[in-house]
Amino acid sequence: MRWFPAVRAETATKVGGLALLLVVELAVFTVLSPDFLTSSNLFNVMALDTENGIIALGMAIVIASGGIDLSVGSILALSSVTMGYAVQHGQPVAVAAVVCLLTGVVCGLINGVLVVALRLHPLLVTLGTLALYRGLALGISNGNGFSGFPVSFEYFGQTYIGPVPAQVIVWLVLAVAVYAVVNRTPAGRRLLAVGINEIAASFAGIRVGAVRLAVYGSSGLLTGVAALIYSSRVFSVRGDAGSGLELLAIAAVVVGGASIRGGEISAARTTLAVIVIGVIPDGLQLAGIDTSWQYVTIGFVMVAAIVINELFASRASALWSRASWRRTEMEDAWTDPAGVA
Amino acid sequence: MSGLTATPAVTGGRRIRVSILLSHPDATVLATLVACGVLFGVFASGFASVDNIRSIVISAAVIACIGLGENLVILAGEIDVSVGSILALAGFAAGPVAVATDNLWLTLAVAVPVGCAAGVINGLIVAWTPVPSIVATLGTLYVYQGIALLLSGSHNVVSVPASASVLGQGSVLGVPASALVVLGAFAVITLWRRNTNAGRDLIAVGANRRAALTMGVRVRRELIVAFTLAGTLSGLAAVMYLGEVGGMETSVIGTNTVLQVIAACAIGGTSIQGGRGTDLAPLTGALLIGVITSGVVVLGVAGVWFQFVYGALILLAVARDRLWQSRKVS
Amino acid sequence: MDRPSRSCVTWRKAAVGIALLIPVTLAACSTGTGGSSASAASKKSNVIVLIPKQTSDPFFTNADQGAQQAAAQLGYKIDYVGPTTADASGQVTTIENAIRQHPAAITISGDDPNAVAPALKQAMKAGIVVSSYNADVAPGARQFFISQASNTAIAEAIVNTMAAQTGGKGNFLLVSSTSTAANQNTWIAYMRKYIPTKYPKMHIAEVIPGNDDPATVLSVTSSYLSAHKSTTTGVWVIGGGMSGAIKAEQQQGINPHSIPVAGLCIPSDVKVDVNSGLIKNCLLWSPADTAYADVYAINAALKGKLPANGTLKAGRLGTLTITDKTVNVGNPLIFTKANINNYNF
Repeated sequence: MRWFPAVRAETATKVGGLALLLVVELAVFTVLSPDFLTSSNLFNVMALDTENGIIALGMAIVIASGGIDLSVGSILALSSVTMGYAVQHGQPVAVAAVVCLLTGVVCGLINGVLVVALRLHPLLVTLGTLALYRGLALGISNGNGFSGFPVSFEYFGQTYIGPVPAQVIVWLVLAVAVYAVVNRTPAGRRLLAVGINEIAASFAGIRVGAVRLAVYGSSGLLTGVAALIYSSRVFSVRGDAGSGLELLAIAAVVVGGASIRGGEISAARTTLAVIVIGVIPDGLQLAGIDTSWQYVTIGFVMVAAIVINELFASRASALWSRASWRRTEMEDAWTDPAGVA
Repeated sequence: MSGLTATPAVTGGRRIRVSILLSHPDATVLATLVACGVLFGVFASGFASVDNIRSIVISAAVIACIGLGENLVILAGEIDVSVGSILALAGFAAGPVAVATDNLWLTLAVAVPVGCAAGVINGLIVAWTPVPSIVATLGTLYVYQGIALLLSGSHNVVSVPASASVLGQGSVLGVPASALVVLGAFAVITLWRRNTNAGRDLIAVGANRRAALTMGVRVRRELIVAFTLAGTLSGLAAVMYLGEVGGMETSVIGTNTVLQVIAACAIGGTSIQGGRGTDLAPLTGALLIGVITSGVVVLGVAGVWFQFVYGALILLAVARDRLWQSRKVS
Repeated sequence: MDRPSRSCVTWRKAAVGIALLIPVTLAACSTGTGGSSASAASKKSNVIVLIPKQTSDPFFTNADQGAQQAAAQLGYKIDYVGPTTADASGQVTTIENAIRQHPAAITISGDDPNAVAPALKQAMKAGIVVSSYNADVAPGARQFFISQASNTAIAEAIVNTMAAQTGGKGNFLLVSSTSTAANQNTWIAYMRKYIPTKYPKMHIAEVIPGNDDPATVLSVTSSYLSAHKSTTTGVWVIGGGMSGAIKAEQQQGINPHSIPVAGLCIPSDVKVDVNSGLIKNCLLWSPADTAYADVYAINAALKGKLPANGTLKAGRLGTLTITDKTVNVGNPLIFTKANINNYNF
């Protein structure tokens, strides 16, 4: 399905659209402020976006499998808080870091278990765990922040390799890894199959439950990595950290052109989308424009991306496709189950 | 003859009626609500006071009001994540009017149409483009929130005067005004859903869209109406919020509210996949959340653990829904 | 199997790769203004970045006005920028972005004293003057702190105004701002030291954060009072949003005269309640004066003339004392029905 000429045209339009949006943004912000197009600033933007980018990768995996995860922000908080707890009780930084990642994985697996074993809808499950994990984070930290970390803790979020912030490299490496796993391994194929059609996948012998568990676990692990980087960057942990990150992650996946119903994923487009969105607050601030304009600008960029992805891209695929009968049957069934449009 | 069959007929009839009662979709939630209320009333001193109950009702009212609208959207098989932003938008549009004029009707005259317009736009996008509703309303969430922030001019709304606060602060014969507003809206919507074709067809749109289309239901119209109602009720809720809190902060971000609203609908029994649920669901859901959080406070559990309790509650409610379903099937 | 041809696959990968590399190559190839020119640039710049806890809070918009006044007198430009919610990570982003603008100075009221510290230290390394006002940050992360009134004076005033209304005894709820704001924690600590010495029968029963948000203050006060109505003598609110506490009492059917609400307040928030007698008095200080003094202090620091201990000439505020890198501006202001209408923030 991915290889039909129609789909290639669609992907090309989406990538082209994103790249065009990015170029337009960079151009506009450069005109508005001479400080924007400097290596210091651009690397700064990417460093600030690293956590969002890594979480968005996890979200892309979850959405590709046909699910959704609203609890990522809370997982970030809980992972950070357990890490702080470990340090507070004398554990070395390395051990605490492992605790952070483990918490992320465990939280993700719990999500997976609830979705698979209890057959509950992922939207509601992760809505519940969003509050549950946030509550745990607040309860364990008793509403206080903790910042008594040793200096070595700076390592994860504040080191540079040359002019490049180290976490940006970690982010790009993870993006490549996600790409490789999804597109080059049988596990990735199974993931996409489950997202495309769960029933057909299970008839094909794929253990859908195992795939789902792995998906939510991976998302939890990636969130744990993001938690580690974030906590190191602000050198503190708080129970209320990460509020609203799930929204940004879903927005990034949507702007990246993945179908919200699942079955497709592009690590590259998701990463590009995070940058497209992340550049906006920085560009606006450097241009001296009030922070109140951030939401509207992000909103317009999202709308532009949605228009390109949902409207132009599918028209492009129709124009390009020599096998247009295929598009009618299968793609319509997804994008428009009611035959409304 | 009649003597022989009289007794079995009477007992059999009563048994049947009870099971019919229990199978009503709202039954479990109402039963849970009453049970929790009674339990807390007995074990937590101070819970069962008139003032505490008033306070629970008032704090649940805004969520219930928006929930009535969101419920319709979910019943139609879609979702609207922008309702919180519509609340903020209507609040910042009408807030300055409330502060300047101290007039409830003028405030409503701004807030409700703003909410309605936002809802119409959502509905048009979902009905006429192939964009999925979660994506479309995610985009409008940002746009509406952004416009709300711009309208605020970076100033919070503060000190809403008394007359304009009536919907949040006032009461009639001891019953909080906000409760009356919510009940009124509930009545209107229930009447609409029972007695008009458009109302009756709504649930079909969510239950089985292709079938509804084939049956001649005007799906597009239903969707637009559902989203418009969601927006309008959010506008109304904004006036209640302004009255209750006396202002609005720019930190009233869309996401918190919408998640609570969806949770209320889900806890009340509405299926997130659409096509199943009642109009009472958001009300009972919001009340149940309010009762449990209040009960937990009165029992002395520290404030930091509220979110945890809230999350556990949602998961239990969702699980209960699933168990109830599988029992019905078997 | 319907595989794409090799050339098509490489095309796609190339396109995506190029798109991704745009920001990275730009970053690498552009004129990297590193550390050396930054200090030179910030000396030439006359921009002071003023970061509030939250941009729309009337307390901080008033501070902005005070800063603008001083800036006009001294020849600076104020860039008022920050998060729209009282959020430490939003402040961190603001600071990081501001560094790239090479301002003369950055001054901040910290939502969390430690979360913003790494970014502020980076700013100082780039040659930018860093100060804090209203809510201090980690001392190593700023060069000086503007204290609007001495913390002891504030804490004592908070206690005394409540004691006057409640006969100096009872159990009190204390609603604070965010749990980590340094100013809050300092005042609470002083209150705990002061109360036993002067009013041994007064007890702080519980401290709950209200996040400067009237809606949160309302809900936490309401919840607390529903459980402890009969044992609570009064409610202190020392973060923003005092009107929320009054509303909470009204919701619970309590007359605010029987359980008084006192503490720190923002005039625009409580004007209605003070004028109708629901709040007898409450106090604050002038955020505008604080920011005004801040700009004068920054001016002195840029010229290398700000001592760690000594005095500062601050325009219309006269001469201010500096102790241990903290500039003390004045005394708290008590608002009552008589004077609250004179203030419009």
